[in-house]
Amino acid sequence: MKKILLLIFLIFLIPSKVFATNLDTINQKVCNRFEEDVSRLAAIMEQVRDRKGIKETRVAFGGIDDVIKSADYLITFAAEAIAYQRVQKFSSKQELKYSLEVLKSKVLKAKIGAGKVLE
Amino acid sequence: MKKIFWLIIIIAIGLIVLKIFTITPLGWKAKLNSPMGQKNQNIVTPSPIPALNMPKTFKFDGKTDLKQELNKVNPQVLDSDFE
Repeated sequence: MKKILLLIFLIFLIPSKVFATNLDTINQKVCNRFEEDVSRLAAIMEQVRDRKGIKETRVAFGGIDDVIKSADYLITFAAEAIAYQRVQKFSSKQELKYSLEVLKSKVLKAKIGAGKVLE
Repeated sequence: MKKIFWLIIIIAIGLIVLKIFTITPLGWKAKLNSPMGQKNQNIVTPSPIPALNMPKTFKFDGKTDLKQELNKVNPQVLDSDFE
């Protein structure tokens, strides 16, 4: 009886552990891709500031352009969302996919913000 | 025979516990000024191993076409990621 219970326990425990690890691997892989995108956006913004001669990192008495400030904010927000996403644990593919889609929208917003700066 | 076996086990456990208390910092030889104990002061802190598959970082110069770089930003959640 004990052996049967142990066997049943192992049958349910091991696949769930393996599945959780797989979801985490997928999460990290997609987050790495998004982080590259955000890193690219940050590099673009850095170059924009260099070309415009903007050295301030804080707005004081009407300092830097609102569009640039807004883009910087969106990029930082996306980067923080990615960092938060990395430490989350998911129990199903659907949950993970939904979460990644939300993160994708944040990265896209950051891209749109950077696009407005380049216009 | 069983008694001798248990005696050996107990002695072995005793030796292991004794080693733990003499060598590790938690033991009686750990000093107040050095939490690691004098023996362990020469241990070099290992440098962090770089994580595998680290995302790329970018650095552009004055000649870079920033709009082209912006077009390369294309976040996607693919079905192939979940296979």
